[in-house]
Amino acid sequence: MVKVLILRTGGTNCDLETEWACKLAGAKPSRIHISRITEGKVKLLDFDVLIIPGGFSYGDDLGAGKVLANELILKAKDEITLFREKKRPIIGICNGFQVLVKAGLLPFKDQYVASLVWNDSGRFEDRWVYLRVEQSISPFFKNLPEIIRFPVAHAEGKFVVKNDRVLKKIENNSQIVLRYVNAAGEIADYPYNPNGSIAGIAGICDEKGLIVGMMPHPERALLKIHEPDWHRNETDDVFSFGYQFFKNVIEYCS
Amino acid sequence: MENLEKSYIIEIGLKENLFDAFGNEILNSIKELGFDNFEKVFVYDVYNVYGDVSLQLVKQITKNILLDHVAHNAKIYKYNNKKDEKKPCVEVWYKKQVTDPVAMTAIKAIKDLGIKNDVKIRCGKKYVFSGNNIKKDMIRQISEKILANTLIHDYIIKGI
Amino acid sequence: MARAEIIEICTGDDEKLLEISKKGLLSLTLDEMKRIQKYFLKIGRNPTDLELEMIAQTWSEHCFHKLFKSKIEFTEVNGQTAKPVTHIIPSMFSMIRQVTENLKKNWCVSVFKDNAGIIKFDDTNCVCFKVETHNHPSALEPYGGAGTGIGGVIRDILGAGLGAKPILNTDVFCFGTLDFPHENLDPGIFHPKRLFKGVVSGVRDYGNRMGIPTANGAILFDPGYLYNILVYCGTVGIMPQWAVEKKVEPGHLIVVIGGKTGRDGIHGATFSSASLEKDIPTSVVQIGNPIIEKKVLDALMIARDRKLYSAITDCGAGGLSSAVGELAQHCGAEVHLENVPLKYRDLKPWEIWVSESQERMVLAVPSEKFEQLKKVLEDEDVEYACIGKFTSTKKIKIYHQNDIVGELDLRWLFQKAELPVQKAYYEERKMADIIPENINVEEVLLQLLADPVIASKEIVVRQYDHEVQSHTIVKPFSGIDGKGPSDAVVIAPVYGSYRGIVVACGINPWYGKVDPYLMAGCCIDEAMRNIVACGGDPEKTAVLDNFCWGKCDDPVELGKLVKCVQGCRDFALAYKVPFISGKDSLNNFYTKEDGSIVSIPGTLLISAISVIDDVRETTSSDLKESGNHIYILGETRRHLGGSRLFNLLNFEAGQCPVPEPELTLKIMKNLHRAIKQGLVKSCHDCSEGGMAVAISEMMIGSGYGAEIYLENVAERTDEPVVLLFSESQGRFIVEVDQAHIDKFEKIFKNLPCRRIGRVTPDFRLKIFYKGKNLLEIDGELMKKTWCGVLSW
Repeated sequence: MVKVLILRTGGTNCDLETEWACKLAGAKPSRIHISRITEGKVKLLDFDVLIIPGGFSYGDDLGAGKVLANELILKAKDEITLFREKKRPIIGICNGFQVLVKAGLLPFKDQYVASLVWNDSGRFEDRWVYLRVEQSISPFFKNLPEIIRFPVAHAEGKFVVKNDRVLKKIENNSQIVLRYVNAAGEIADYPYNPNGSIAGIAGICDEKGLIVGMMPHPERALLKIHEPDWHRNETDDVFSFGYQFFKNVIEYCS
Repeated sequence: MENLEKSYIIEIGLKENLFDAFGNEILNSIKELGFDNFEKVFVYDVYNVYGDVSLQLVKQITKNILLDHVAHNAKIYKYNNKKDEKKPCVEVWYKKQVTDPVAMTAIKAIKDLGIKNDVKIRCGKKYVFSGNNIKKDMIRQISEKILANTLIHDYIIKGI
Repeated sequence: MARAEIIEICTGDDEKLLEISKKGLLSLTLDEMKRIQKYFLKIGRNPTDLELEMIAQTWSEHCFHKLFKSKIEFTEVNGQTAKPVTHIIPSMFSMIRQVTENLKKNWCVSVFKDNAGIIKFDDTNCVCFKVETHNHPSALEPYGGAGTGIGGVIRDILGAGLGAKPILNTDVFCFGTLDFPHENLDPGIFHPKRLFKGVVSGVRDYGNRMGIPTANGAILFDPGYLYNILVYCGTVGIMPQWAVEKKVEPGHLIVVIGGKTGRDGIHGATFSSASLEKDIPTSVVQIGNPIIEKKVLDALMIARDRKLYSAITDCGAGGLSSAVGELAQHCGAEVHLENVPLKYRDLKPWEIWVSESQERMVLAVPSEKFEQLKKVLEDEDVEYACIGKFTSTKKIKIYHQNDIVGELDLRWLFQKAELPVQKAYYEERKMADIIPENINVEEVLLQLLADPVIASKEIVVRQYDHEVQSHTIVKPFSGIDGKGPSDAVVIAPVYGSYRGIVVACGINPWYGKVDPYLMAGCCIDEAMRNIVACGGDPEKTAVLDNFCWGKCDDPVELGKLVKCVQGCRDFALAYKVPFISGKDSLNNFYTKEDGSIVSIPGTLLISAISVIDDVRETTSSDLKESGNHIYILGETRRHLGGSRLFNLLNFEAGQCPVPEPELTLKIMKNLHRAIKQGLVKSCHDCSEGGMAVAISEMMIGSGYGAEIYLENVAERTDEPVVLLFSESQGRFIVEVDQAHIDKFEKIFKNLPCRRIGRVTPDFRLKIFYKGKNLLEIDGELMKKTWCGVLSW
């Protein structure tokens, strides 16, 4: 069975549902505190997938994801480098995306060229969004229709880059995996783009396509009855788009 | 305040090309108060670092913990420096007895860097205003009605 | 007793005793001071400051609910000619308890006993619910006060039984009107908008960081809350059945975990029963640290399941003094205060003992489990300290270093004192009815949709994470673009299971201004309507009561409270819903500079929780399909007293809605059946603004319109205004498709169930009355009006 390490620390919130998502997708997940890894009690390399789930690690103090990102670089850099060299997926969801960007794992190895800052509205936003699945180098977005829906729930989700060259490079490399769109699939303003991210970027991958970060929450879109308007849609389907995403990740590793 | 001479202020603000959502919200609140002569509000996170610190240490803390290189600019200066503020501004700090959770996280992050000095830190906010005919009394009202609660905060008006 | 100050009480006369109470901010009455004097004279010494503080905390209104437990000499005047009649009636608390005792629901597991009310969920689990208020601190510092309010109620859930996992937060707020002119504010009073933003932010940041979805509540605005806001915070938790009981044994260690102890909130418990005055010491206001509490939660879930402790309670009002005192109540304890982790060094023993620093829990730990517990706490980065042990001496003995700083007999401390009989007076208020004439119903409906009490709260609700944990199945907003309001929240708390809970609330202080007795019935009716409209089961519903009232030593104010509690008793029995928990916050009043008193309108919040078999058997409020039929269930009568219509028209008049529990219960049971059988396409209850607002809200979420034939709504009335805007209780608007109308109407045979119109493809509301066009409004205009009221 594919073994998934779901990283947690003080303030991590979405680990239990991420664990459930992995189980549904047929994997064997373990929720592990960062201190077990830095203490050496648990070896990252014993796992096939690393997921950094959503939440408020360290309260989002000093910038969401910053303190956990520092902790990973300062205390677990070698393991992560090895994990990555072995082509094992690293998935960052919401707070996890913030961590990956601030740890220099996204969009380019060991460079700090992107960040996630406060939403343009200045408020935490919890809403479902339409997402366009982009043609990307990541193998985790197949078997999904062009437009899918996940919820976002964040205060610091606005994707920004150091300069235009960074944006061009991400686009040219096909490193954008998801964009915020309206129901017709067009790039649009608030509330379709809930935070003001440039180019409507909701999720990106690294240059190999195996490290993925996204602000929306696939683990909150596992079942049809998770969708906010499911009473309007009569269907026999049980699962929703988030389930397919997790299945893709697990199947990649099998 | 202990060790004033050796105390530093780190001021972190958004780069010019980024939208200051908080500044915008405060500007709206100022308008609701009835002041329509204000044009912009900039919000900075300010950190007062004191204790067993040197300028080099403060720079290290700024670079590795407080500064987001993509989104922020940082300024460091001595607390006691009679820094002439060019624009009217207000600094808001928690009163001494109030426990600040963000400061606690900052201490942890400093320890994670391997720094063993006994660093003390307190976190505040600095609001800088631009507009026409701004009077000190307006700033005082804005401070008391929007920015600070004198039950738990101290606020200092500068630059006007 | 070197580190504690001795207070000379034994030789004090009445004046001296009162002075001691006042100086120490103890809020103890003369009778209470005399009882203390008697106890210490008997043991032959004077008390320490720590002992007096502990007694004051334990006996405080907040901890002991003295008023609610007192008998009342109640004088009532009913009708215009009747003479006043006086009775001694039993305590208000006993009236509430009586409901649950009489109803004998076998799924009520633990009520009015522990930190929260506990009911059965399934064969393995129970759910618990607690709602608390944090009014005074929030008025002083809205962000910090509200944050610690939600932090406190979450800790009640962590301390229910052996600890429950929080799965839902609810929030109900009452503020002054947002457009109140700044220049008319009394000095020292925050503007309602500032309080509104501060409270919403405080609860949001704490709840979001704890990873608990905040998905139900209400926000009310009324000038009566200008000086005293109300902040009700609730939390629901889930726990295994075996974790419902806690037991303290002598020899168990006393372990405090979580945050360090400082000077925060000293005198919170005794203070919160006193009126707000201007010179308040800083220590009353606290800033919370939700990450510490989240770590405590994480550690407790592990430690609980490994059975590493035998009892737990939260450190709330009264701090360690109350927490340890409660746990030690039936056995005894020995405490060493020097072991408590401190924020600063120079805390006096009494400060350590009664400090209300946040994020702390107290555990009773069998000594052989302590090593394992320490490991779990260290792994989760939670600070802890063993501060003593439980004994069998029936006394509590407190040391600091080697000095005894306090020793009290626990039986004496917790004895139920003879509480003085309170005086209350109530005169029934009869208001003349006014027949509103020349009403432009289109204008009025738009104005009601623009009423901040009725308007959409989306801008607030979306700041709260309402989906974390991935259990939320019916979210606060549904419909085509997430704008349709839900009546309740539905949660499926066990991964992989469809079993669920439905949570909702009922609150309406405007009815209470007319008739507090009927208000109680209406709040219960509203909470149940909200539950049932979503799919909840009226026969598996439990309720919680939370009273926020004004100056209760005024017999007239107290009289209204008594009537309200009587209403709770009578109507809860009639609706057959047991109370499982309750709280009161009394003396929410403000003394103006000229000495006049402004009390809040007496405000009752009823929170309701229902267990359902399958979360897929639920409905949402948005209309589903053009061509479907629209029904109204229930009777519409002339109930405009306290209505939002009469508020708009500035009429202090009319008959307050009168609930009809027998009829309504039948309707609710059958509606529940109909929803379960899949006969209902959408459902929404009628509340503020009446039927017209209900239908408008159903439209807004759907993009469809409606055609309503108003004369079908009721048997007899010639008043369209009444039919549109009356706030009669027990009514639902239900959408049923053509294929199911026969089955649906059969279920409601012999009950008021009337077909009143159809869903139309046009996004317009058209209301006809006896053949004439009464009202026609464009849906986009309604939506824009209703959605655009609250700004941030």
